Amino acid sequence: MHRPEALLSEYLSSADAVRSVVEACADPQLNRREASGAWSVRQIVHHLADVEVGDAMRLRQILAHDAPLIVAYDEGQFAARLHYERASATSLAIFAALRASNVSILERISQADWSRLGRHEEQDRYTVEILVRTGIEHDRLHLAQIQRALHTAD
Amino acid sequence: MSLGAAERAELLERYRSAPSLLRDSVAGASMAQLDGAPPEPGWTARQIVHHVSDVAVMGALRLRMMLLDIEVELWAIDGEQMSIRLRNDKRPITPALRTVEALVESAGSILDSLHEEEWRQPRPVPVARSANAEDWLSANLRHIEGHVDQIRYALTGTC
Repeated sequence: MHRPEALLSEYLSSADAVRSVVEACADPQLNRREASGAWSVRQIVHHLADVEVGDAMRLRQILAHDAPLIVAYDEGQFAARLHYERASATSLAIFAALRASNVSILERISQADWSRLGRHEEQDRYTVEILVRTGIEHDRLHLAQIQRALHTAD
Repeated sequence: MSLGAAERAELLERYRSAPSLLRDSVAGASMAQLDGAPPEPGWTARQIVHHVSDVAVMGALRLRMMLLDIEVELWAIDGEQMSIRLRNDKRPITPALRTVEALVESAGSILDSLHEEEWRQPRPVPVARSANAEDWLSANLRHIEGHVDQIRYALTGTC
């Protein structure tokens, strides 16, 4: 793996990039979406927060227990049932706070801890390192989606 | 348990105030105090703050899964084991305090958005022992308030 410091730096900066773009949005911009039927910026923020909650729990489970079961979830159900029309400021706050909290844990784990395993329902191999790399990719994917939505004409 | 609207609103207000109680309970404490042995064997104030934060993470996920009617039999945690493995005796408390504040505010926002029938709808959440959203709120409030008392005792020897 890369040096953990480099990976952690990416893990923090990818979340910061999302936060910076969303914080600069006026409220009406949060309703923009890249295409009809796609999630709005507001819904993406809620999604990022809910995924961060899930990842924070997964990280704690994997580090604290031996090969815990990692449950997969249906993100569409989250959006449909958790009132994603609500204000997104609190979700942006938990996204940032949990990322910082997760990093404060990751900064102190051993090299061996990065390879600790969870038994993911849908993936063959799921380690702390994979959780972090997946988180970075997820941030980038949705940052690009947010940027496309914001550049879509009214 | 079934609450009236006023009782529920009061509970929600107390829940939203709980992170301030937590922050106040450690305000001004020195490093030595945060890490000082409590009057009786148990966690230090620092470890308790992290435990509250870790349980708030679990509670946030349980709330979401509960509202999706997903059974979550797997999230019983070993608090002692988690405290050791997550180095809760070493980590700074500021990220943990911010996490609790953000998660409580977010949960409050989700609970605010629930329709009346969603509050009382029975949910399949065996391990969380929260039969519905009202139970979840009461249990998560009690958890923070209980540990605030424990922190005060750890720091001062009195509740």
